[in-house]
Amino acid sequence: MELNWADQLWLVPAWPALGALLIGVVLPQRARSLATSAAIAVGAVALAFVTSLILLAHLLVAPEWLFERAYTTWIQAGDLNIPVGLRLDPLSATMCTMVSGVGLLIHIYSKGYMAHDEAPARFFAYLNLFTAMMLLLVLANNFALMFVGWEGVGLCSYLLIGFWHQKESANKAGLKAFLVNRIGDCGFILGCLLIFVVFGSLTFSEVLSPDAIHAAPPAMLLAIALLLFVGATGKSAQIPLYVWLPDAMEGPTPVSALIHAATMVTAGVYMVVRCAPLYSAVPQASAVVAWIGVLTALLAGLIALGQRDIKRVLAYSTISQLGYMFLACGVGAYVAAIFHVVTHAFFKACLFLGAGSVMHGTGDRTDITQMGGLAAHMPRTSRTFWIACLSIAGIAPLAGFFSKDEILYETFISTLPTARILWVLAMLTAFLTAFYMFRLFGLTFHGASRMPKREASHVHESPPVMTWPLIILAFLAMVGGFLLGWPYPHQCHLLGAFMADWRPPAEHGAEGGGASGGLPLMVLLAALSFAVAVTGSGLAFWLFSGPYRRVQEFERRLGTAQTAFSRKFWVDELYGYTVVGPLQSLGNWLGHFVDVRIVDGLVNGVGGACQMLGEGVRRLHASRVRFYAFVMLGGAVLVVAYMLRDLMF
Amino acid sequence: MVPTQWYLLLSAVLFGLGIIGVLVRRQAIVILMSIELMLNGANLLFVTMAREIGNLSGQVVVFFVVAVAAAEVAVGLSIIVRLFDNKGTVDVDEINLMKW
Amino acid sequence: MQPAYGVTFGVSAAIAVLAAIMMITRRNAVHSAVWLAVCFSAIGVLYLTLQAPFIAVLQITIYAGAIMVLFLFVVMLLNVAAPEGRDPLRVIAGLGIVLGGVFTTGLGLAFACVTTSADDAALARTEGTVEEVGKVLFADYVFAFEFVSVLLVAAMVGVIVLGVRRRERGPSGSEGGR
Repeated sequence: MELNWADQLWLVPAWPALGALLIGVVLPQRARSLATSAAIAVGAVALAFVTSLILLAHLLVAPEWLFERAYTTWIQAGDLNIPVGLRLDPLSATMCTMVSGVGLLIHIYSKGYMAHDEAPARFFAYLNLFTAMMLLLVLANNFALMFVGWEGVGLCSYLLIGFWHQKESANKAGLKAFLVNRIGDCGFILGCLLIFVVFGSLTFSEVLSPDAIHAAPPAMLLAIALLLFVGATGKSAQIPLYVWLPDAMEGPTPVSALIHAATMVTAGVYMVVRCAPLYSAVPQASAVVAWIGVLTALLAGLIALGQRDIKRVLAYSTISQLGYMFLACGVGAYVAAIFHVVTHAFFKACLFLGAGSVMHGTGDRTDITQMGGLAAHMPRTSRTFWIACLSIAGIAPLAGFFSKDEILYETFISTLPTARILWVLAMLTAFLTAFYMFRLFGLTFHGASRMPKREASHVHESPPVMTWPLIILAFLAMVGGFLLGWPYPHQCHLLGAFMADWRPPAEHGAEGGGASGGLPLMVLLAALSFAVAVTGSGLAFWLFSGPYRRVQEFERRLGTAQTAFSRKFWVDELYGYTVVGPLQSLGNWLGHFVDVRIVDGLVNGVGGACQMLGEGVRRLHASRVRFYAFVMLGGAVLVVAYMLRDLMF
Repeated sequence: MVPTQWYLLLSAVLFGLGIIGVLVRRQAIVILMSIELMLNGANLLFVTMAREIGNLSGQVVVFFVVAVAAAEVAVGLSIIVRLFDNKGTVDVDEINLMKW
Repeated sequence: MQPAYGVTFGVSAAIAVLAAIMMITRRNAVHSAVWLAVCFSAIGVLYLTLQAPFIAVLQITIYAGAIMVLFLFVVMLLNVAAPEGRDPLRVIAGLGIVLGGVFTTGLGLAFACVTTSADDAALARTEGTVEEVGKVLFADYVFAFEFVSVLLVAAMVGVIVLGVRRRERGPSGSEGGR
C-alpha cells in the first residue's frame, strides 16, 4: 500500500483526541466505568505510540529526515498566514515517541491507581486530551499551532491538578499553576508577535532558517529569544516562575508523573531546542538561559533537601533537572538537552509512579519522616525506585549518568565566558541531587519503620498493573543511556547522529576528538562526576537509612539552613507579599470601592438625578393659580426681551 | 393733536396694572376684572394704531374683542358661581385639587 | 382746538390710571367693580379723542354697561367676603409687582421708539363712524362677524348649562360637595 507518510502525521495527536472525545462526551453515563474508560484511553495512546513508531521508522529511511505537511490554513489575514501544519523531524520524532511511549505506560498504571476513584471517566478523558495537546505541541510546524498545544496542556494541567475539586487545596493549586503559566505565556505571545514583525511569518521553516536569522536585527533577535524564554520559565518551572510545580502535586500521582515530570514541563526545553538557530545567534540570550538553568537547579536541589513530602521532593527534583536541561541549551548542547529530557522522562516517571505505589501501599501517606522500612513489604516498588535513584544521581552505567555527564562536559568546554563557574555550580548540584535522592530512598524504604504498628502491618505491594510500568521504566532508566548515548563520546552516539542539525557548533564536522578537550578530558570529567555521585548517594544512604536519631542530629546541625530549605527559602511568601498581595488589594479595592461606590454610584446617580429632576419639576405643578400666572408673566417678559433685543443693546 | 406715543404708553400702563392685579388679588372675580382691564389696554392700542396707520381694521378688531370679552366674562362668571357652590369661597388659593 | 385734545387726553388718562389703581387695591369686591366701571368710561372718552366714535359707544354700552353690571350682579349674588389674613403667596405677589413693572417699562420703552407721523391733519381725517366701520366690517371681515355670532350662542349655551343650580345647594356651601 502506497501511503504518503507525511500525510498521516495528523493521526498521532488524533488518536488520543478521539479517545478524549469518546470518553468525555460520547460515552453515556452508565457506561462510564473504570474499565471502559481506561480501555479506550489506553487504546488511544497505544495507537498513537504505534503510529509514531511507524512514522519514525519511515522517517529514518526517507531521503531527507523531514516530513512536513500543511493540511489547511488556519488564519489568513493580510500578511499573516498561519497554516494547520505538522512537522516530523528528528527533534519532534524523538519527543513524540517519548511522549506517547511514557504516556502509554502511565495510562496503564492509572488504571490501577484510580481503581477506587469515583470519576475515572473524567480522569481518563482529561489525560487523553492532555496527550493529544502535548503531541500537537511537539508536532506543530509553526509557533501559533504550537501555542495552541502549549495552552492546551496548560488547561489540562489545571483540570488535572484540581481533579479532586472537593479539596480546597487542589483548586488553589490548579489556579496557581494556571495563573503563573499565564505570566509566562504573556512573554511567549509577545515573542511570537515580535517574530511576526521581524520575520513576517510564524512557520518554523521560514523563521528558523539561517538566512532569515542572519538578516534579522540582533537586538530584535535578543528580545525574541528572551521573551520566548520567559514562556519557557513558566511552562518548565524555572526561576522565577517555578512556584506552581510543587503545589501541583495536589493532583493524582499519575498526573504528576506524566505532566509534571515527563512531558508538559519539557515543553519549554523543546521550544528552546526548536529555536536553537535563534539562541545560537544571540550569545547573551544563551548565557541568560544557562545561568537561569543552573541557578534554578541549585536552588531546587537545596530546597529538596528539606522537604518531607515524598512528592514535593520529586517536584523539586524535576525543577532541578529541568535546570540542567536549560543549562545544556544555554551552552549550545541541544542534543544533550534532549537526551536528558528522554532519560529524565524514564527515571522521573519511574520515581513518581513509585511514589504513587508507596502511597497506594501505605494508605495515602506522603510524609517520608513517617515511613521507613518499606523495602521489605514492597520489593518491586523498592527495587525500581532504587534503580531510578541511581539513574538520576548519575551513577554509571545507568542512563542518567550519560545524559548528565554529557551536559557537564559540554558546559566545561563551552565558549561562554562564565563556563567554568557554571560547571562548578552544576557539579555542586549533581552532588546535591545524589544526596537528596538517596535521602528520600533511605528514609522511605530503609531504616526502622516509623509508622504506627497497626498500619505498618497493612503495607502491601501494588498490583501488577501498577508495578509492570515501574519495571519497564526502570529498565529504560538502566539501558536508555546505552541505547541513545553509546558509544561515548557523544559526537557519534545514536541520538547525536539522529539530531545532527542540533549538535553543538564546536563539534560540527569534527569526529572523534573534538575541537577542545578531547578524549582524556572527557574521561577525567566523567570520572569526576561519577565520584561526586557515588559520594553523595553513599553518604546520604548511610545517614538516612540508619537510626532516626542520626537524621535528627543531622538536621539539628544544619540549623537555620534546614529551616530555609524546608521553607522553600520563603519564595512563595515573598511573591505573596510583593505580587499577589498588592494585586489582591487592588482587586478588593476595585471591587468594593470603585465598583460599589463609583460605578454603581454613577449608575444610581443617574437614576437619582432623574428622580431629583422629577421632584423639582413636580413642584411646578403647585396647583396655585397665581404661581402659574407669575410663571406665564415671566415667560412673557423673556419673549418681549428677546423681541426687543435690538432695542436694549 | 396728542402724539401717538402717549396713547401707546397709556395702554402699556393699563396693561401692566391689569397684570399686577391678576397676580396680587386673591378673589377670582377681581382677577377676572383685572383681565378685562388688560383687554382694554390692548383695545386702546389697537384703536390708536388704527388711527395712526389709517386702516380701520384696528377698530374692527376691537369690535370683535369686545364681543369675545363679553362672552368670556359671562362664562367666566358662571364658572366662578359654580366654584363658589363647591368651595364656599372664591379665593383662588383654595383651588388646589391638582396639588401633588 | 388743539389744546382741547390735550386736556381731554390728560384728564381721561389720569382718571383711567387712577381708577385702575384703585380697582386693584380695594379689598371690597364691589368697590373694585365700581372703580373698574369708572376706568372703562374714561377709556371710552379716550376713544372719542381717537376719532373712533363707534368704538367709544360700544365701550360704554357693553363694557361699562353690560359687563360691569354682570360683575356687580355676581358679586352681590355671591356676597363675597373680603379675604382675611396675610396673603400666603405674598412673595409671588411682590415679585409679580416687580416683574409687572419690568414688563411695563420694557413695553413702554418699545412703544416710545415707535416712529409716528406728525401729520395731524391726516390723522384727523380718520373716520371711525358707524358707516365706515361697517363698510370694513362687512366687506373684509364678514366671515368673522358671522362666526362671532356663533361664538355668542355657544357662550349662551355654556352659561345656561353652568348656571343650572339645584335647589338644595344654597350659596352657603360650607360643605361644598358636588
